[in-house]
Amino acid sequence: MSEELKNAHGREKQPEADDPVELVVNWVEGGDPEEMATCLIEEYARLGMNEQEIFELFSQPGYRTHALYRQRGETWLRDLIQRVLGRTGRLRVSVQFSRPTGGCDA
Amino acid sequence: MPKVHNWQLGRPMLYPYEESHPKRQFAFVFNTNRCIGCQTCTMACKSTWTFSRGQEYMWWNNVETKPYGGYPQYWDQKILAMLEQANPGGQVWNVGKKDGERAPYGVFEGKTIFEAISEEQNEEGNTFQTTSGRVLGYLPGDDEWDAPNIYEDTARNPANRRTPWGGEGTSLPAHRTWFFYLQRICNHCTYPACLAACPRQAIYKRPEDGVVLIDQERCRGYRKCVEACPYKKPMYRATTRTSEKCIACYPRLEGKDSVITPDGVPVETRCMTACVGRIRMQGLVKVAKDDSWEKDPENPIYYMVKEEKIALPLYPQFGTEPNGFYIPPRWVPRDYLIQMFGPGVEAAIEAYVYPSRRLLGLLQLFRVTQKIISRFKLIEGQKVGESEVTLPSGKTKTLAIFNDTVVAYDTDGQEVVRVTVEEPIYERPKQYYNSI
Repeated sequence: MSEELKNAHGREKQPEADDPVELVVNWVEGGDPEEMATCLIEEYARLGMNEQEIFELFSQPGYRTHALYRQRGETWLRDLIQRVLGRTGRLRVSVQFSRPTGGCDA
Repeated sequence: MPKVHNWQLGRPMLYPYEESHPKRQFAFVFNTNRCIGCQTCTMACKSTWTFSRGQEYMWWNNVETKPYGGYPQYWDQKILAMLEQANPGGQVWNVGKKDGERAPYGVFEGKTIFEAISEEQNEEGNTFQTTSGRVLGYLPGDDEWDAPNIYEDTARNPANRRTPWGGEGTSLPAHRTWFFYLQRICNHCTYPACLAACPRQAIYKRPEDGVVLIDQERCRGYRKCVEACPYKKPMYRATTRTSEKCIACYPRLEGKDSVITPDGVPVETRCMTACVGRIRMQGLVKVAKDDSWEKDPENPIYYMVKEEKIALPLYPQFGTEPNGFYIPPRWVPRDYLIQMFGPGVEAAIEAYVYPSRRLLGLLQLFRVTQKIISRFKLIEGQKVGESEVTLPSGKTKTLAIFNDTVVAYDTDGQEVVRVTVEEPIYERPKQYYNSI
């Protein structure tokens, strides 16, 4: 792509310091990412997910929880999941549909 | 201006129209504790309703990262700041005035978006005149709509300033502080600000299910609804020169789609049914003439909102009485949550973290079926184990687990599904697989 075309295409343009609509974030103090991860692990353990299934909620880049995996790494995450599951366990749940359903639940 | 009762504020409030309520109300509960921000709901909605020309920046369902994000940008911060400026220091709750169903969270003593723009205020020199003259609001610019989710999880600039740009484009720093995901659709409010502001009376609330719709034939695209809605859920479409908004997937709600609902039984919306994290449940609640919900503890939405009070309205202080309710995320600083969900936060989290048997059963029903669950029942079983839970105070408590079965019924009263909690399972770490 030529330089001229690059400048014409919005996707290729670089951020500029004097751009008044440049996107920024709001910084808020407090909170703990480990607590967030712990809560999520507990939630899915209560729905019956096992260690590997829970791990994939963080390791898959398509999910935004992947940010925690990126920040802390696989070892930290696996250790946390094992610790939480060791403490709370997970529930074994069975689901039984009452009648044959067409359409949506089929 | 007439006065209407708003149970979420615990008091009467000013509203441009007389009080009138549908027989049943579309309502939903989102469990923010389970959301992983996968955006499947967002894409399900997009691919169903807003994939056409002129709708490129239109996301009737969006999921934004809090506290960083917003769609449109800063929507909640802006309207909160406007209310604070209209009533400095007065936007407070009196939690000592709780009064059953009429004021379950206490009384909000501040001003709503309808009251902050009242005639009395204008005479006193209030500068927040909107063009509708009926609702305090603002019209977001194109730059606020056009980039949902950009830099929400990945910070470009560490300080709350726009310039100078201080990051490296190739290695953006990530947020190191707390966040959670806020799922948003139209709240199909009891007192919609969009409806109040429309000069053409093109917006109406359906008497059969309380869904708020824009009549596309009457709409002239004045954008008063976009300006007035504090949640910023009506959106302008330049190609048709009308405003559009979430329609609560009403063909599904009516059960009239021969493919999706061959048996004619209502099903939940696209965003609800697509949810990967099993965070969403939608229903219809019965509404009385005086704005209260008819007592119906077997209805899952009623049970979570009114009985257990674990699901709370989003920014109830705006005054529109939204019908979307959120189970607040339990890891987030309380001041922030109280501003967002009102003073019921602490009690909601307490009840959620250490749930009753009935609630634990109901939480298993999220996203098990696509049919709208109108009633659920718990069949009690034997105790099968215990699980340790951590309370908000940091103390741990033992939760008894029972072999309970929760049964769900559709709107025709037919049983749809039953979910049984069999037992808690503890797995040995790999290094101890073969040890005795």
